[in-house]
Amino acid sequence: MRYLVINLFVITLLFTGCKKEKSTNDRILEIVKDSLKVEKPFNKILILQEHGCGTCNKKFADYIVDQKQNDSTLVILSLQNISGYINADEIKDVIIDRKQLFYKANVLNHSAVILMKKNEIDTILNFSDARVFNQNLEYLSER
Amino acid sequence: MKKLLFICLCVLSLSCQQDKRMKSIKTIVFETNNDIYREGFSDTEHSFLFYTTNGNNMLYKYYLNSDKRDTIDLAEKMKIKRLSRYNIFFNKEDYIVNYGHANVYNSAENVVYKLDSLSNYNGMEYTIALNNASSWKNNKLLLTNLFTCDLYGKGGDLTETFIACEQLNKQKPSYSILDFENSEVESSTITFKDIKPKTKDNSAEIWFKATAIYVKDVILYNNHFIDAVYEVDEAGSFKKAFTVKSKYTNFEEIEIFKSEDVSTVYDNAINYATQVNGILYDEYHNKILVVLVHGTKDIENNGEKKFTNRPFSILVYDTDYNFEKEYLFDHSKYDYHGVFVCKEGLIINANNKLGDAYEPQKLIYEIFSY
Repeated sequence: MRYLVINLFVITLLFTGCKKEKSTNDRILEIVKDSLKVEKPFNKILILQEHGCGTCNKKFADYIVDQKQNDSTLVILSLQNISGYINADEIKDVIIDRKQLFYKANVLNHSAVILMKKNEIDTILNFSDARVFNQNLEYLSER
Repeated sequence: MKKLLFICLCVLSLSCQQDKRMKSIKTIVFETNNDIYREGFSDTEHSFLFYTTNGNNMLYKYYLNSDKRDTIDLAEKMKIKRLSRYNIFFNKEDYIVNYGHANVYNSAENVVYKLDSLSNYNGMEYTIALNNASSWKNNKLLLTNLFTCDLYGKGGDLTETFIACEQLNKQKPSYSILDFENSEVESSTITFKDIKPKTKDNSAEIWFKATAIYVKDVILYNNHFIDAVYEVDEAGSFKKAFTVKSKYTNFEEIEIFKSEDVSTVYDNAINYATQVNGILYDEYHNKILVVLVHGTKDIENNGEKKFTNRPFSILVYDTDYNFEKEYLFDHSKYDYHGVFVCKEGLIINANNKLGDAYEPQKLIYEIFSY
């Protein structure tokens, strides 16, 4: 009996010791797949949020509407006050996230474009920071 | 006998340590079927909740004791094309809209006041006390001041410019009084330097979030990141009225240049630091109430405990500034931005956007007695 208890203790220790801490990217993908139920793979995910630079977010909302959205681009409107920023009816593949899951989980606190490679996150571009907005937009248009 | 006495003392001591909770007596729910931009409550003969949109600038009123609904087209009423960013609060049936950096609309007068032309200070930005009817009394409105600085954009080391600007601005008035009757803006005598004389010459602290309200014949002023509440009389003389102390949280020194990225320090202060979020005057109970947001410890591991997803307290003081009670709100459903005085006690927003039970497009409020 004593050996059984010791064995169980050792196995539990081993199990918890091997448990890998999830990275921020893993947690972002978890929200996209599990919470927002996105099953189809996308090359580009555009996420509009209301935190950070307000003017940048407005400009990013205009970009989302104006861009030529193809089949491999997904838009996630991750904000409570959607109608204050954008008309969701104008967007083709769009997910509404009024509960702001990315911000709430503290994994992504700004508007962003996520570039995917083989179903993994390759690059995250920040679109709520005035200092890098134009630079990131340029980079995005070249991709 | 000794054992019994010991047990009694233990029970007594434990019961004294218990958290005090306000008693929720009623929940009010309204479906809006609309995205909400601003929301709040007005304590009047026929009290109502309201919300606004910033898509079409409409304001919707939901009366608590009847099925009555009302709407106001804000842009039409104010005779402007479109409102984009604004704050609004009601005092009875009248309301104030603060938009742009220095415009105030008063519905009672149906006039937009352009503060730039009424003040001696160029480039000052004003904010209204959010959701606080006590900041508007006898046709005067209290505004808290934010300053711009002429030194920006003139070259030189940015950090040095920033420090110089902070030091200059801290010697400027902390709040302003907009007198609607005479169309005048009067500056306060109190400055940040008066509140915190020890402020260092080579650093800068967070100072941009504040409350100024009328309580009877005096004004109470607090900078939200500092534990002192000041009383300013009609002649402009000021003194420290009381210190905000909590059994749950402590104020900390925040120095802007602790990190190289100033905006991160600002964001962290708003999201994680202990701070007052407002001071209310409850004229029914003749009490002063302080809404105190608890700071988050170990941000690295508790990053999601930010902004409104944090516990807060409501501290009760009598009008001689004696502390009476501290009530704890640690359920994520309550939003500390939506705390209002009502006849029964307090009405509090119970649909926190960062709460686990958040329900979009709904107004959910709870009435508490205390």
